Amino acid sequence: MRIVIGGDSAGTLNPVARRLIRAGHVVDEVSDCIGLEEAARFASDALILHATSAGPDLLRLVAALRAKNPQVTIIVVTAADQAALCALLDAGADDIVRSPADPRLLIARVTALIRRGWGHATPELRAGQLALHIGRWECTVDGRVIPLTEMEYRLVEALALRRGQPVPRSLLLELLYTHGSEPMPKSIDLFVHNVRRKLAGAGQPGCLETWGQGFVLRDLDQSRLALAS
Amino acid sequence: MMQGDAARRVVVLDDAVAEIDELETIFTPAGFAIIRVPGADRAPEAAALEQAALIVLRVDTTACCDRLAALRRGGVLAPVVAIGAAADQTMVLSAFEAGADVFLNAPVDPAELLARCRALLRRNPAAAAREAVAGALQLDTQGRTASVGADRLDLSPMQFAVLEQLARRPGQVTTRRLLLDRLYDGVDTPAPSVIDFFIHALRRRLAACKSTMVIETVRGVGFRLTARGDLRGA
Repeated sequence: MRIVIGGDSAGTLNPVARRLIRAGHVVDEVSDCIGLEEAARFASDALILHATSAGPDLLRLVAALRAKNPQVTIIVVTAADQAALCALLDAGADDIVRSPADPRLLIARVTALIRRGWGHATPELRAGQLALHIGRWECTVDGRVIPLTEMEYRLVEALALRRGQPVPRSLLLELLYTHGSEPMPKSIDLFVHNVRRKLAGAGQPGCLETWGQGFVLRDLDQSRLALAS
Repeated sequence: MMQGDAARRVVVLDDAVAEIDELETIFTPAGFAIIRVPGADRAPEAAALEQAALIVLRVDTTACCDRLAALRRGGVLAPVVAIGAAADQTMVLSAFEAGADVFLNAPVDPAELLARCRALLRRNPAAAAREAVAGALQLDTQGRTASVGADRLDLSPMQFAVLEQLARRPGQVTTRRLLLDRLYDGVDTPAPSVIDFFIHALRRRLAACKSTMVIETVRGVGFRLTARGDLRGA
């Protein structure tokens, strides 16, 4: 998942960023609120925003970020009182965490809200026989582990979150790499090729389809149901 | 007791919130129907929970986590607000592992719980996926199907994408540029007039289904989806 961390004292979130990177996520750190708005123009799964005080500026920033991106998970780490907390939630924040934030818990909260944003009820993302366990960094088919490289896992995770929905190559490029890394667009096709080979080896071919300018992970059981009806 | 539509039905397990009466005085005016389920009693639980838009339950022991995990395995997909001792890190982590979506520290302030419920319901595309647009035009963005009443529109992927963009902001103008960007990702650069073909095809299909929603051309700018009666200058 691609997560952008920023705010007026984002340095305090360094342990969170380090932990997220260790867990294999794509993390972009920006030093101020303007940088956060700038970074939010690119696709990301979550924005973690650290603010020393929960004033009207913070409220405006959260509302502006939400207006630009209805899907992204917005987490605010701040020292908000009850009224400010409710106002932030209604302005578009998905969760407020009181600082100092414990990295492990913060990450659990972020990933829970990201998967919920795509309609997944548990950390186990399923598409037919394929299951991807967020947090355990594990992909299985029928319970058998499929060894994936870091980039392959990121690809499958991005597609599994958006299960059944076509994801354009340009969006995958933004989600799989840190900002400014300028990857080759065709690198995505290489990962797709490798993942397909591994899935076919596990007896699950055909669920990763090419769709226009992008790719889609199909829930094979469901597509069969749709054909039958 | 079952007032409110399913989208606003919040199931609170009785042992979850001590101030449940206060909760009702806050939630009911906000348009939420609170359904209490006795926490210890499991049999009537399942039926109520499957109807729920949101579930509030108490998680302070591993048994509670197991119960939540069992609910998830049993097909209860609604967002879950877990309430417990947030200081207990392992408990919080296992609650998320079991399928909780948000964890709140007990005792929870009813006003905060209301704001949390609103925020979480907004996040749940199970309800949002079937974006109902006025005039009975319905889009299922997950299944990528569109229908008017009972009639399914037979759309190509591109036609669906155009309609989806318009339906996301009914009544507002969607520019040709935005449509081109969304459809072609800035990779291909087709003639801008390609959009007209999609619009033409969509209008024909909408008319065939006697849709009350029509696509209006805003000259020099783009298109908007409006109800037939609202059509300006027609």
